[in-house]
Amino acid sequence: MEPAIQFDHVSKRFGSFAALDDVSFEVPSGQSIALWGSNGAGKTTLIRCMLGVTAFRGEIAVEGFSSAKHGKDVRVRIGYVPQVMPLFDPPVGEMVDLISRLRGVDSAEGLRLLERFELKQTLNKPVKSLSGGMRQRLALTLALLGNPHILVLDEPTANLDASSQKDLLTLLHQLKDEGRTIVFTSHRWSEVRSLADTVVHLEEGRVKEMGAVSALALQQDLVFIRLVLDESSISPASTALTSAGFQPYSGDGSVHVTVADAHKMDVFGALSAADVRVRNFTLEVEE
Amino acid sequence: MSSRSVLTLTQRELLDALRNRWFIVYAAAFLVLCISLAAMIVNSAGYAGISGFGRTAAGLINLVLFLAPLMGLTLGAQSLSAEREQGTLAYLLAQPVSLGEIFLAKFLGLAIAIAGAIAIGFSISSLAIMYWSGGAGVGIFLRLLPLTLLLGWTTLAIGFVISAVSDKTVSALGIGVVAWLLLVLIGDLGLMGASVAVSISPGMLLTLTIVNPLESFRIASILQLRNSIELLGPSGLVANDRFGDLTLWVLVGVMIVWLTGATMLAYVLARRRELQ
Repeated sequence: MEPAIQFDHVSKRFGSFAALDDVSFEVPSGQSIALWGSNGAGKTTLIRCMLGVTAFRGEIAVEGFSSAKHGKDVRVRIGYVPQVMPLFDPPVGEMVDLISRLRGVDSAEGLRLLERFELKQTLNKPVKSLSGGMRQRLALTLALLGNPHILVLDEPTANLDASSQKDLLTLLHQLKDEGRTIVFTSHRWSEVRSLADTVVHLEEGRVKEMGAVSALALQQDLVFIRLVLDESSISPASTALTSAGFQPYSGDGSVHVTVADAHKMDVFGALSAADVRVRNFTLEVEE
Repeated sequence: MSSRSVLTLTQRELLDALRNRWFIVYAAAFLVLCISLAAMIVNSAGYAGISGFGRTAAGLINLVLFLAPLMGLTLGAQSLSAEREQGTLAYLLAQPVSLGEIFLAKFLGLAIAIAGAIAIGFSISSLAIMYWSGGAGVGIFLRLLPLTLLLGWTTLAIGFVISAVSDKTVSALGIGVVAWLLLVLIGDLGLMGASVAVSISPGMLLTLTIVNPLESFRIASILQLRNSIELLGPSGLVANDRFGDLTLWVLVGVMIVWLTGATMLAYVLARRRELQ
């Protein structure tokens, strides 16, 4: 059976920086694949290459279509959910109509999806007035217009509160059960473990390891630490944690890191050594 | 390129323009000033007959010279930069559309919106003149309309170039306003200063003058309204001497070169930036 997506020696450089370096793997149809790695590991760049919105070396085939040569054909076959749904001015109904028309589908399908994701009451509200959780559900609604077999989600829960994260994950499980191929990035190991069949661990643009979640060396007792820092401390904290061998993720005024329970104090040790002041933190055991 | 996608995105751009408070302010200001000018035209005709024509024509040309480029430059400058800043451009690019389709639709949408604002301003003013005076002076608006549209679109294209290279909407707007000042005021004064300080031949001075699309518009408008540019003095005579009957077409050609050149440059810059 032909894989849904095939990455074949994909490389991408920004000047002298190798964002992706000879990445090759396949995504079987109906499987859920997590791209795992720290900031700058190449996850988002790989997604942009797959969507055919940036030039790269090598070959990516999505259901047989080349991302480099037939970007529009590829994007018709992919439903894309960004990390944050942009703050569009128009009302939800207008956005649904716009994306429906661009995807060549009847906007009645959008109304059905809005109902499924409990967003029908937002039809006349501007997209930018919706809560973060609602906006991500809208992004999922728009991604499913035209019923694509492949869903690509870039950190879909990164900016959501715990309740919205849970709701979105439930929806993603439903979509996975419908047999869709899902490619997603996340910095939460609990999400990866819950949703992914396979994990592709990217580091410095290369595939470090790949396999079933249970078989990876990453699999251990993990904790998720959210560090609240001054804005000016975010970059030094990320640098210090990366130098210490952790995989930090920075966003929404904080730095997140998933770490083996036995090494959680090492995070604070690395920050202290770099003179980074932590204003607050939360710690969750990854289940 | 899919015409369906371009049409869909153009409609979206038009709706966005109607929601854009800058556009609403420009369109309203243009309308109010046009109507004021119409009232002036009627009064001039009443008191001075045809002798009032020169004053009102100059007023209309100056009004267009100030507002149409400001509208084109600032709306163009916001076009891509605002979408980039809000993340909406990246989101649209992840849909089954190409950058070329998005770019073309944005340009068409804004060009239609600007044309609408100008046409409404001119039409209502013309109707007002017809109502007040039975039609004397309406021709000024009608004869100036095509050149005004061309000026609006040319400056829109220059605004797109600014937008293609700007990271933030605020900085794009700032550069747009500086470009407007340069084209409307400083370029003119600088050329006058340079011609005094350095000995520039009349032919060179004419060339340097009409390279500025706003000056091309100004001279072409006078030619269109008066059928003569001798009132511009020696430079008008030089233009007549050099281009003869083709003067109007040369000036329109300069504006079309700016329009197409700037549009293509903006697309190349946007492509390099977005798809790198």
